[in-house]
Amino acid sequence: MVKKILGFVLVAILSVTTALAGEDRVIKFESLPAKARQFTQNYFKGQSISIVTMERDFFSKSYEIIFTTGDRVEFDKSGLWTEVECHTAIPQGIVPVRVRASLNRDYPSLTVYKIERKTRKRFEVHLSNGLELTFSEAGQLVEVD
Amino acid sequence: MKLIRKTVSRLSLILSAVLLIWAVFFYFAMINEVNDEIDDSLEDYARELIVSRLSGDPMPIEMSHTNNQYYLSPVSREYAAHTPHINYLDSMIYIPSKREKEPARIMTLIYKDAEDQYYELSVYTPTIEKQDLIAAILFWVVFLYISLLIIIVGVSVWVYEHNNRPLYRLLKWLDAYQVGAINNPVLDIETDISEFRRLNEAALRHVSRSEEVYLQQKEFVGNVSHELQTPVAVSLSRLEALMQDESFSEVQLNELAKTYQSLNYLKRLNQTLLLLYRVDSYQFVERSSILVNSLVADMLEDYQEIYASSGLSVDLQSKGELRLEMNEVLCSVLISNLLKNSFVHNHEGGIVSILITPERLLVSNTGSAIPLDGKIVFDRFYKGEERREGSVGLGLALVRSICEQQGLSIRYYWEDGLHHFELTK
Repeated sequence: MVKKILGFVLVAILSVTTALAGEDRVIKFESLPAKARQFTQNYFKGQSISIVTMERDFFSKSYEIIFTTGDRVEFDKSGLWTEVECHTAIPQGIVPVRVRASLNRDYPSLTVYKIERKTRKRFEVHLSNGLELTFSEAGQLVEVD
Repeated sequence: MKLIRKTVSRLSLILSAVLLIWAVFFYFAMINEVNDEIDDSLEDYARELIVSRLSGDPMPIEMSHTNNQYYLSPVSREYAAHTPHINYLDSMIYIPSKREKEPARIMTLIYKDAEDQYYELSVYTPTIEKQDLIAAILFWVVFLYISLLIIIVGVSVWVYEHNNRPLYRLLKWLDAYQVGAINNPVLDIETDISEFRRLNEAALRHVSRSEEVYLQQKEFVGNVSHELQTPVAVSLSRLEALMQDESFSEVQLNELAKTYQSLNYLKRLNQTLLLLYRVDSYQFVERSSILVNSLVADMLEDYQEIYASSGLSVDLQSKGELRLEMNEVLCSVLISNLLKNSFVHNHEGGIVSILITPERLLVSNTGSAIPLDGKIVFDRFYKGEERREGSVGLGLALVRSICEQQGLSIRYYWEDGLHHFELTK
């Protein structure tokens, strides 16, 4: 009886822990959430896709698309973008309006090649001169790295 | 089994099982986390390589001296169609810089470029460090499991003993308590635990109730004896007067004489009971130093005279003076009862032998051929196998009561065909 229970517990532990293993899986573009597909249609229309992966974590899933140009986009479980990185400049529409306004005002000559969605509605933008700036959603500069 | 041992053994049994499950779970979770970290770093590395390659940035050389290394090769469309596009593998791999094979984690990824050409990218990292890490984790998990178990059990033992201290003191007090004794210890257990307080109060309540009942019973016996004295004395004197009447026949006078004897027995019984009651209620308080040797010698003379007809051989040995600090009346009651006992419960031509040393008085006598029960020989109304004429059955009970009161000890034993009563200071 005790052996049975211990065996059961062991199996349960093993299955739970392996289920939590965060290995990547290659998926089809069609398996992405609709929101992510729509985003790709809007901003990367016509680009061919090199690979699409899904990472399953403890509580969440995340997706990543790498285009054959080397540009890449990460999405969260709902299909909302969390990170966009392009070899040259990211499509203008991705950067939130107020953040874009601040950038145009203070750094008109620089381009954004990477943007990340941070917690507490903040955005970190990487500029072509190597600057990393964190903005609030209202376009307020919060941190310079 | 003591309560604490029961508690601790149950506690350690359950805890060891629960903690074991916890430890196993923790161990596997940690291993998983380690593997996950390695996979994550491989994934990051692979993504970096792919992005660099696709966007035309310079690639790092394949055989770098860093931990992470890669192979990149174009593959056919057919190969790509029949091979999983992502694959993880643990394998031995040759490390050129070390010129030997080492365990490594390998991730293989298939992607295509803008010209629809498929490439297979293999990235790998040695896992020697991983083995060390897992061994270290295993060691620490086992170590922490054992030490946690020991600490928890130790702490619970300490807490348990600490908490239950009032309980053990109460048990000790109850063991020591004797109803009717004068020098019982006082119950002074300070505790702020309400259950133990209630237990203490309940114990005190019951003890005082027993004490009350015991006292009432003692007083009742005393009162009855006292009240009986006068009617018995009156009856005796009336009977005596009646026996003077010469109009009774021989048979009637005989009957009257028997009644007289029975009444006399009742009188003595009553007197002894009264004395016992007075001893038990501490009515003899004055003390003096009494030389037992002379007291025994005097009494022995009297008893020899009274029981001269039984043809007993009496022997008195004095090996030093025995002095007792006690009440004089009680001392003579004590000694006379011991001596009388040895004369009464004897047989024709038997032996009475008395030995006095500075520490004890030993009265030995022949009598019934079988030993008496040492546990109940001093009980009230205990009479041996055969009933002796004139024996009330309270003599030895009186002896014990006096000894208890005066701090002496008395014991009975059977040796060499003799009954021994030993009185020790």
